[in-house]
Amino acid sequence: MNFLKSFVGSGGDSAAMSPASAGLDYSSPAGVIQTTCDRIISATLHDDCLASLQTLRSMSNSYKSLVAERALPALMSTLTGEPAEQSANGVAKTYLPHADLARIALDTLFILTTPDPPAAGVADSSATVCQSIVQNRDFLLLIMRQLQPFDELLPLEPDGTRSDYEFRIATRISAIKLLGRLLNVNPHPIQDAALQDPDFVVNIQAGLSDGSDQLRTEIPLLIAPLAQRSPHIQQALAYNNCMELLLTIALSEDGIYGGIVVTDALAALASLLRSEKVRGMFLEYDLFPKLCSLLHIDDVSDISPSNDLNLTQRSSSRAHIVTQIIGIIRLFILPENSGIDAGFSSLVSPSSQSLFGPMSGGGAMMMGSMAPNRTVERNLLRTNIMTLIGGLAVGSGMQIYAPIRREALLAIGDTMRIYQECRKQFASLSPTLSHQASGGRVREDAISHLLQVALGSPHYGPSLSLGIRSAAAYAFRSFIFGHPDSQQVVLNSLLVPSPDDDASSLRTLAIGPLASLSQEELEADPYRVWFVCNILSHILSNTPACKEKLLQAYIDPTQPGSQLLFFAICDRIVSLTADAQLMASSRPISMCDLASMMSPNRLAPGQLDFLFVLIALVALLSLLAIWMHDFTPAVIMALNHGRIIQSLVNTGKMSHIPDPYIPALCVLLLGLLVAGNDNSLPEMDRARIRRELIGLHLSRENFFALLTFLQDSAAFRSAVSASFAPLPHVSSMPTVNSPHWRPWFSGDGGFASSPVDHSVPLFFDADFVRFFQSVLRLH
Amino acid sequence: MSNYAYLFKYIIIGDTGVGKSCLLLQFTDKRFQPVHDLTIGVEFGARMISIDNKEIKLQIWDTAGQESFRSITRSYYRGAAGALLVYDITRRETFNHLASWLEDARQHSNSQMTIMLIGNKSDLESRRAVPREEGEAFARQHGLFFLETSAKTAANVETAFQQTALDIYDKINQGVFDVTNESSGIKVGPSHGGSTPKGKVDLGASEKESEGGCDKC
Repeated sequence: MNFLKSFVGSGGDSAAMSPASAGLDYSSPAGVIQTTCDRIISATLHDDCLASLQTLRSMSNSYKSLVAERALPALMSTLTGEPAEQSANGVAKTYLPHADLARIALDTLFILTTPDPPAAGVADSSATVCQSIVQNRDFLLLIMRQLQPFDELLPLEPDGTRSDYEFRIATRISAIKLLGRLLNVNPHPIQDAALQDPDFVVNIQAGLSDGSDQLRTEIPLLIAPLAQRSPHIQQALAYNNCMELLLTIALSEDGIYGGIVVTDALAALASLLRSEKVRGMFLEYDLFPKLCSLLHIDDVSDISPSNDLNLTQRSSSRAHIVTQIIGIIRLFILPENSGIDAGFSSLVSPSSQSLFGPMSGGGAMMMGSMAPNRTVERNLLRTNIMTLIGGLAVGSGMQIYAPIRREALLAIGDTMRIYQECRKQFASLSPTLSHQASGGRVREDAISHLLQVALGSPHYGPSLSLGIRSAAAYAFRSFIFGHPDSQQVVLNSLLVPSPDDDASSLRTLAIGPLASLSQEELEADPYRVWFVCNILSHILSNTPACKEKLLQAYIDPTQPGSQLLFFAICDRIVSLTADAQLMASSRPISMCDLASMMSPNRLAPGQLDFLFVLIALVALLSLLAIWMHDFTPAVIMALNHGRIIQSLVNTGKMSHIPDPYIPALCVLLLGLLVAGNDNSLPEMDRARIRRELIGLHLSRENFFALLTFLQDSAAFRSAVSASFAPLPHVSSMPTVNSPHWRPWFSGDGGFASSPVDHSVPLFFDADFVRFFQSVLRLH
Repeated sequence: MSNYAYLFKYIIIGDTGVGKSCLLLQFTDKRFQPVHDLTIGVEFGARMISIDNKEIKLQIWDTAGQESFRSITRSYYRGAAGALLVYDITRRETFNHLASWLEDARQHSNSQMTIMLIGNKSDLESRRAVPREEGEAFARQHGLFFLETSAKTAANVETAFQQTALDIYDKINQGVFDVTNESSGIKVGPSHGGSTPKGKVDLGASEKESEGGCDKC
């Protein structure tokens, strides 16, 4: 590929070489290609050039590398065209490419940039050709210029059309395809060139508004990769009416009844709306109702098997389009959904702070609070779109493609966090909802429905995916967020028994896993305990009254002698940490990827048991940490339990841990037990606990090393962008990646190494991660 | 959401620091912000005005004046019906650069685009570096409207935007603009009766605020 290098270096105008001067045999493929390229450059007759280009195109399929090495200058010269207008001083002002020649040249370039199927021993030249083109700004601008309609330069036919119009359309489409290919390989030079050439954006706009269906359907494919991560291009395209034109295309294809054209148009629109300014323009242009009108659903009752609105199948393009539209609406509701990355630079290193210091304020769960955007709110209310999306989220009487339901749940969750009117609207959905229970139709409100789904109620069968459950939990948390009254009401409904309690009641679903966590229950639904703890954590996080209420809760207040729930949880932790130690010491553990975890039956029994224990421990330890933080009565209660401290320390002493998430959480709890200790128990005062911890090799250094592990882990660092993770609002999951538990305390009690994180089967709630970070900042 | 007969797109161009964003803020929010972040790329604002008893929505695009954004802002010329070309009367170099800005505008915009030359910061008379007559002469030479404004005191700010709108409106009446063309910078709004606007143009109260009036020079 030396030739390509010289081509790039010379700006693409290197002189063609004859086969003889290049030392080539005239009859060899290389010789024929070289001769053909010479003819293209030197041809004075249009037909000669056309014939040579056709030859080159046909040879580019069979001799891609040879053509790529020799033909780029010739193809570039073809795209330049001939002077069409002259400026006052006689210099060519505008060049008009021959549409037929340019099209063949572009098609040839497309072939050269198309990757070959992998074949042994054959190097694929396509990527090199792509790079050669994109690194040559002049070549790139020439290709981009082929999108120009050139209408004003084309002769007018008697019937009012422009001559060559059809050819020009075909050429523009070839240019779009080639640019799309190049964008996939290296977008930045093309984005830079697009900003250098103001005509390019205008030409895209012209293509979107052209009468040609082909152009209108191809250009959205170009917009999405072109606008990706380039706010300036997003804004320039939006300024030039591209958003409205894309919506017009989607509407002309009948919205959700359309097919791939609508999907492409919406994907292009979504790529523009990543920019906050563009979202402002979208609202300013009053396009929000137009977007909602694509749904063609006026009422939730429209979605039923009796009509042809098929939203049940993966293959249904309607289902996909509905998901896309809800996804776009989410960009307006919660700007962080647009993928803005937050940094962690403000975090204070725990090594320089003391978690053993006094506790004071803050540190509560920090589920993000946003100021409402009144224009967005006005649009949400006047289109009534959230009622419809709410129906898609919790309308349990209908079968809906899971990603739609998940996206709808997330949209509802986002909305309820910020827009109180929409929150009321959603809560008022209750009379219309019902589910088919074994004993007949049972009415339930929307909020109970969210809890039932999150907790994996048997009403909804075993098919509820973790994504749906996680989204439902998120929506529920959003409902109670910032509403202490709602938190207390929900907590009551979880704690207070009623005559109707059965296996599927909310109370049983919530308290059962905390009170008696058998292996069978874990196997039946390993994530129920996780979701219970997740929900309780959010109820407790900002409301001391709820912490107090839960502290006084018994497993079953109707049963004399029933155990306090807090002690039951401590017992579970003691028992599970013991199980984990036993399992870890008895057999090697080989962990799996996320896909395997989604199908637990693919795991060996031993692995399964171990994972279930880890999932439960993460949940219970997280709950206890939030409960005890800034709440001394819970700390005193834990100190009274006695065995919990020993168990936490023992977990810290586990000798074979590859990724010490559990020990690190145990250490966090120990820190909270010290920090929240008011010394009211003489036998368990701070000084004594510290002495015991140090005696048990939990020195200050080890302590901070474990907390640093958590803070630096990929799982915790990804928490801010968790809403884009496979499971929403759950931090990406660490894998326990070693086949063996390995020592994490070295012989001298120091921390052994920082493990490597991968994607994985343990979950951390993103808000718990933020809680953890705030605790570190405080101390 | 708003009901308008026409929407006109404006761009504001000129060197960095001449007060483009302040002019926009004064026009849309009627306030002056002495310290302003540098504009990155483009910002936009909107306001309704009334001409000939018709509601006209002005959508104004404030561009970055820095050289590094020059190529980006060129993408905005084509779709604009009006441009405010701004210089700072206290900084000579901003006036000297007008020719370059104008060349860009002429090259990349519609040939029918209305351009208003604005000498901003007229409240800083004691620091004036560009005589008013020189600004007028430049405008006359290039066929531009001309006004001196102060984004700080709001002097002539309304008039600058209104007068540009009036000229665009006149051009629509005369059939100069093809309002069906997306790239004309004009959009026919929901409240437009469908007929080409005719009759007297009512600038409204703001015209009375004008200091010295505005001339197509």
